[in-house]
Amino acid sequence: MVESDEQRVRLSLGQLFVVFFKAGCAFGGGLGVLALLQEQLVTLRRLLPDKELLTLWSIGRIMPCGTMTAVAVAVGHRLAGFPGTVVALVAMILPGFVCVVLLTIAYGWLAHGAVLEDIDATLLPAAVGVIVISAVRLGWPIFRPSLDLVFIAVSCLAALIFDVGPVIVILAGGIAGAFLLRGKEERDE
Amino acid sequence: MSYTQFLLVILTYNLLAFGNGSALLVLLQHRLVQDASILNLDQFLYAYALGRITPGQNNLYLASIGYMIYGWLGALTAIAAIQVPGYIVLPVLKIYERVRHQRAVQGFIRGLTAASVGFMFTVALNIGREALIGIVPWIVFLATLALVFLARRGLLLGMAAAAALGLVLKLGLSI
Repeated sequence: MVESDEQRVRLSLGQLFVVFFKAGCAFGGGLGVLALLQEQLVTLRRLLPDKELLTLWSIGRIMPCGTMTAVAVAVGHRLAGFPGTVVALVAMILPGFVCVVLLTIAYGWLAHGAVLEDIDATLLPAAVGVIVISAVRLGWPIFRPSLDLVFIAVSCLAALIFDVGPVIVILAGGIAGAFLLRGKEERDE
Repeated sequence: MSYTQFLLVILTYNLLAFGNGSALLVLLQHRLVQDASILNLDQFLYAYALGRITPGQNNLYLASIGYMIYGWLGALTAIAAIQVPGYIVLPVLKIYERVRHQRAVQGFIRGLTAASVGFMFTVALNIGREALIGIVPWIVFLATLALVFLARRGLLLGMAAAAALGLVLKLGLSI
């Protein structure tokens, strides 16, 4: 799944900036950004296998920082070394950062109007659509009759019904996987 | 609160909350609004709302909080403070590369990945329960799926076109 340094595809810093800038334009929080990254890196440019991106995202989820921050650092490093980490982070943050600061400057005009509510009511549903697409696309390789599907269902239910935090759900999935899924990959694939 | 204290608060709380925007919100509201009183609740909630309606990660609302307190320098510092801990992933991946062939590690990553996909559906359901109320939000949601899956438009274009359709419908209904 993870190639050696010699085999790895490299990307120029300019190309990396474009990929992460586009991803940073996605609405829907980190999962929206992930959906765009998946489209750019996996589907369109074939720079990473989808399984590797999903693995990096899963590892990012259990890091004590923002998940997409960890993913940007990991992918930036993977495709362009240390300078790539800085470029990926800056490009991913830039669209949101500029919008947030400009709208903060406009606080006096916008704070008590209906504009923000209207934007919220139309952007959020579109973001939900993008998150569903992202989950389906990234989960596609493991959507087959297997123990993995049970893990998906159990973690989804645990978070929904018992309101268990994401870090605990995902870590518990990993620990259970270390016992229940070890050595099964070769047979399943 | 001094500039250094502000920086330390963002750094520490971000680590404690594992970068989770909502968990961070509770901690910051307590510290900045209730304890230090350097922001009022209106400003704080406005900043959080911006995180939802602007592109990118949700925790970029910290730029708004930083800007309200210390101007551009505060905005840049707040964002830097939540991005720098991301570098922790590099040594973790280095270790992972060394041990990834072990069966238990493969099982761990496979379980981690499956649970992450399950969690994505949870997030979609949670946001969906909040956002898909009324006919216009449902039209926007279904239009996004149709544009991306059926018309094979890119995600950004699909999302923007569906949201624009929703805005037109909403304005049309309110006239």
